[in-house]
Amino acid sequence: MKLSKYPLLVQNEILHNMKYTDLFLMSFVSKKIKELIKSSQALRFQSINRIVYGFSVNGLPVVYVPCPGGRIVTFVKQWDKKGFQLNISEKLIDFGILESSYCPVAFLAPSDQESIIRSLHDYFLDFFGNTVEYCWNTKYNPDQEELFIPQLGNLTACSIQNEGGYGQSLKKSAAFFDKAPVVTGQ
Amino acid sequence: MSSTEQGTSSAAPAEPTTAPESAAAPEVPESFYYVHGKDKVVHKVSAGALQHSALIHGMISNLGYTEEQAKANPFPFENIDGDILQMVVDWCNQHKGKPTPPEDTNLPKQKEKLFDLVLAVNYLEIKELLTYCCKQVAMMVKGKSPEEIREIWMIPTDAEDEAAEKEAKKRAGKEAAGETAAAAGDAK
Repeated sequence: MKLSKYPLLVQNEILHNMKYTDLFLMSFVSKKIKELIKSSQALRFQSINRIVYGFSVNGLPVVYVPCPGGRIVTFVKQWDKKGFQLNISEKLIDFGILESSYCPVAFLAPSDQESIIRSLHDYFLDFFGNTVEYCWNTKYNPDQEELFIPQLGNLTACSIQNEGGYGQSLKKSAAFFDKAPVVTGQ
Repeated sequence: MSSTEQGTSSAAPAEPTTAPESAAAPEVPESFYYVHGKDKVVHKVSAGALQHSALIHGMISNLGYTEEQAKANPFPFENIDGDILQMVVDWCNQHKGKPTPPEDTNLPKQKEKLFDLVLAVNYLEIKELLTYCCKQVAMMVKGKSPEEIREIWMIPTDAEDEAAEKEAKKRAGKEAAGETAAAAGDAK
């Protein structure tokens, strides 16, 4: 089955019926395909108000569009199954597919997590367009040295889920926002 | 092909619950049209079923055929395989006058059949069936890696795209040079 043999209208209808996560993975097939997705899905992408960096029901960090089936990518700290590598914004990142949800998982090496997230984020800015706002949800736990909130483009909201040590988390988040005036605390 | 139009009951209900004027309305006999594909096998389809196809519906409205004229002049769809046209006709009959469900699980599972069905449905402008088919095509790549997607939908790599582009430019250049030479020859 050759996708290019379909008329453009049919190609658009097929892409329109794909979830964000599948469009994201498909965009790595070729430059032409990425452009086709971006142009044919421009209206759909413009209707995305926000993309959230948060947590899945099983506690894994995840990037999603807040709508049913909106998950784009899940992060894992361990992946021993079959996978593949993607070059995302000049960085090679290891990926796999979660069999239970057909969702891609990105291997987030603890030593390299900020640069991996930054590369993915740059890709999202290009792919979904820079009109989308991003929200960073994080959990604070008093054992942590630092709150991890990377400074990313279009990050307009941030929520910190407190897991104890309320005063500590407030102090750390205040210190963070003082250092990053472009990020608005909510 | 046997006509599969659903029978309408001609018996009046004993205690009509609808307004008297609608119960008294005369039943309009259903009209039929005929279509054939590449295999020339003629399918008899009711006008109600054919309403799903914007293309055929438009043709019917414009032609104003009588039953005899319709029988003598089946609509030819030489670009559609017989078995694919049969699938389309069956779908139109099954969904005649009914609201279409959100999912359709009776679509072909084989890639090549589905591919041909999508092209036929697009040509015949059957919007709902096209949506179902496109959903099914989209499902083929659910949870697949970029390399797997490339294989399933036979998408060229960047290098292959570039080579094809170069080849197309070369060919266009040669054709333009050939035309210039021919024009010069004509001038002599």
